[in-house]
Amino acid sequence: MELHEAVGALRREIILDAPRDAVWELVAEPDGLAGWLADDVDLPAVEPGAEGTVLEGGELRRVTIEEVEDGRRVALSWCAPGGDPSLVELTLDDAEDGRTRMVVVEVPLATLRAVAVRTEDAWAAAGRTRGPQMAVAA
Amino acid sequence: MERTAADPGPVFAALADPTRREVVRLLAAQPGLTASALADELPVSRQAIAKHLAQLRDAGLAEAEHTGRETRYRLTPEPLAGAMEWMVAAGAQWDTRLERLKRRL
Repeated sequence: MELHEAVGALRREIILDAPRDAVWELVAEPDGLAGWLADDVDLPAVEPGAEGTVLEGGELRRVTIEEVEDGRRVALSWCAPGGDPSLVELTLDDAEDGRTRMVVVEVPLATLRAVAVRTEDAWAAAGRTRGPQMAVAA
Repeated sequence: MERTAADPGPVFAALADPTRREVVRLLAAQPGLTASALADELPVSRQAIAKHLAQLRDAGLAEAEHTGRETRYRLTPEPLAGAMEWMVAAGAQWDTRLERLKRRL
């Protein structure tokens, strides 16, 4: 099961009528992101750790680039004023006929933390299968 | 605790666990179940149920009602509406962004 299915996060998939390197130019450069991701993008670069802001519909979000996998994936976190921070992942894949599939996943960070905790719960559950009376470690 | 559409994290976090989703399903069908009754229905211990109920309460999704020596639980689903609003609003924003991206290529 994919993460977004497990936690009910937001997911969008789109087929773009352009090769992956052309789409990547609009993902991997601040100037490329400006005009589609947001009206304005103020980032020094699309590199891990880069921090800046994006302006969309008059709303300024703080944004941090978290991960970059060259030609394929950019993960960023952002937070709207008064909102809950969320993680956004943009993933590119080659589609048929020289086109490109882009998958967008947005997950509130609090959800990701809960999923990490759940892994510990899974271990506790595995231990418990040895006997129904066994107490769960807190 | 108040939750708004802009703050969906705790609700999604509470629902990220399959056991908690089962607890929500059972409480929706039978409001007022005790932790012991929930533990009878699910393959987890009463202590684990108590932990899940505490997390649902922290997210504002369930409340406890003390009657005598028993504690009964019921859903308070209002925060779910906030989480759904976030999902719808964020989804609409992505539809707009992806349309803009399409036009730029």
